[in-house]
Amino acid sequence: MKKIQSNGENDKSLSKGLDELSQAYSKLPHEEPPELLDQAILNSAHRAVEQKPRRMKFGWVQGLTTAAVFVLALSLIFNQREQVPVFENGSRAGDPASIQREKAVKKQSPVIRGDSAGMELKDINESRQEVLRSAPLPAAPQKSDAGGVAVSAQTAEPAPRDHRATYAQDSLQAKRDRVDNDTSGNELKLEEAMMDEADLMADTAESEAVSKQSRAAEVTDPAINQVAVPAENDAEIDAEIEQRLQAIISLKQSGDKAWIAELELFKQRYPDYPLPEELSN
Amino acid sequence: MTTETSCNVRLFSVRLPRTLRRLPKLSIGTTILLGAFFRISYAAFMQEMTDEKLMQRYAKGDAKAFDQLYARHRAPLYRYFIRQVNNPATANDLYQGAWEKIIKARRKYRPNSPFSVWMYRIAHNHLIDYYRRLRPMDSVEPDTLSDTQPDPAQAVIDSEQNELLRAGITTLPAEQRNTLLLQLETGLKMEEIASVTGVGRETVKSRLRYAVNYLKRSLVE
Repeated sequence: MKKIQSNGENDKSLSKGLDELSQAYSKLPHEEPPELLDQAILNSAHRAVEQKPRRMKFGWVQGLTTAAVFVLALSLIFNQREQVPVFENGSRAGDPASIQREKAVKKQSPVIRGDSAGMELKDINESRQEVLRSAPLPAAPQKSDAGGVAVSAQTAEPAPRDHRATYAQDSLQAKRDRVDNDTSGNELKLEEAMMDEADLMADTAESEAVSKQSRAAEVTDPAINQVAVPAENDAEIDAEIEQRLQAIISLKQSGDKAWIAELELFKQRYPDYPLPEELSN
Repeated sequence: MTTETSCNVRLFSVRLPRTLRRLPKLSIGTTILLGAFFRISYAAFMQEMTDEKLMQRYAKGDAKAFDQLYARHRAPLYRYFIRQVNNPATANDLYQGAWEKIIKARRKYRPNSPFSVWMYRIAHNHLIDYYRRLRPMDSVEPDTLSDTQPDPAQAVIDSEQNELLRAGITTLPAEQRNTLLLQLETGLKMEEIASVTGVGRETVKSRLRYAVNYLKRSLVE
């Protein structure tokens, strides 16, 4: 009990002594840190919590990604090179020479659609043009000339272009246009065009034979033979045309309406040929 | 803002209503007022916050919280050091070093104990480190024989009582002086002082008792 009391007395005396001492201590001058020191500490504290900008590190992941992208790009390029189609003549698609060749072929034969019929037409066209180039035909004979064998100084001169050739070329052009415009690829029309082309081919073969004949005759008597032979052919063609016209007239007279279609075909084939009075209306 | 508005008016040949024309000026004024209001409110909010919350905010990156915390504790901590070593240059170094340690250890702070206890524990350890570096063989002895020891003649001129007290504190043994300064400067309880110094409560009490008696005697004499 005495010990507890003494402890309590000690605490009281201690607290009393501390109070007196703190009063005396508070009278001491209040030193403060210099302002520069304050500023330095505050700056240091602010710097510590400032977020530092993250530096872009070029780690192994980025390196691997770059390498992968590079390899992928290279493989794509080489793969595409291998897939370029090679033509029969050995040239690659995209080759400037082959492009020019393709353009030339398209220009020569716009009928070509990549099928065999188109290819045949192209051949026909080429052979026909060759024939026309190789055998310049004489001037067209007069319509009024029934025999078509008139020999004169004018007719003896080589004409730049025959009316037969003109008709043939024009009709061929008309067919080409027709087939070109018909994008549906109608087989019937293509066949029709083929038939016409075959006719033309026959004509050109015939004219080739004639030209050969004329060349042979040219050796002996070029002044007469050169004119006479085409005149006969012209007469045949005229006769054919007249026959066709007569057939159309007879169809019209019989009341068959097919004559209109036939006439249209005739006009398409021979647009410059003068029509008779029965049909001109 | 005003220039832009007038340009726009000319460009589109549209006369804006008066309210809209005044809008830029109004918005600037409102922004300034709102800014000032929030600034004052934030400062008041900070002042009302406890040390523990401020320290937590600082640990999360709020530098303003540290400013507030520093303003509260700068003078007592400085005096704690200067009374210990009685040398301003050394006190400055110790003071700065202690704050650097506090800044570094900001994320380690847990609000289980009062901030003052945590801060003075760091300061105390820093002081002990200083003593150990200074005199490894006699680590607890303070820098009592420094040049700044109070001059008796000067003490008579200035304030005899204060100088006697200062001299008495300086001549106290280091443990007693440390305990007494923690009591006088920070107002920590005995348990908290025990926590700071790493000794028992009774030890703190006896040290305080010895220190108080010694100073009383020196002041009476």
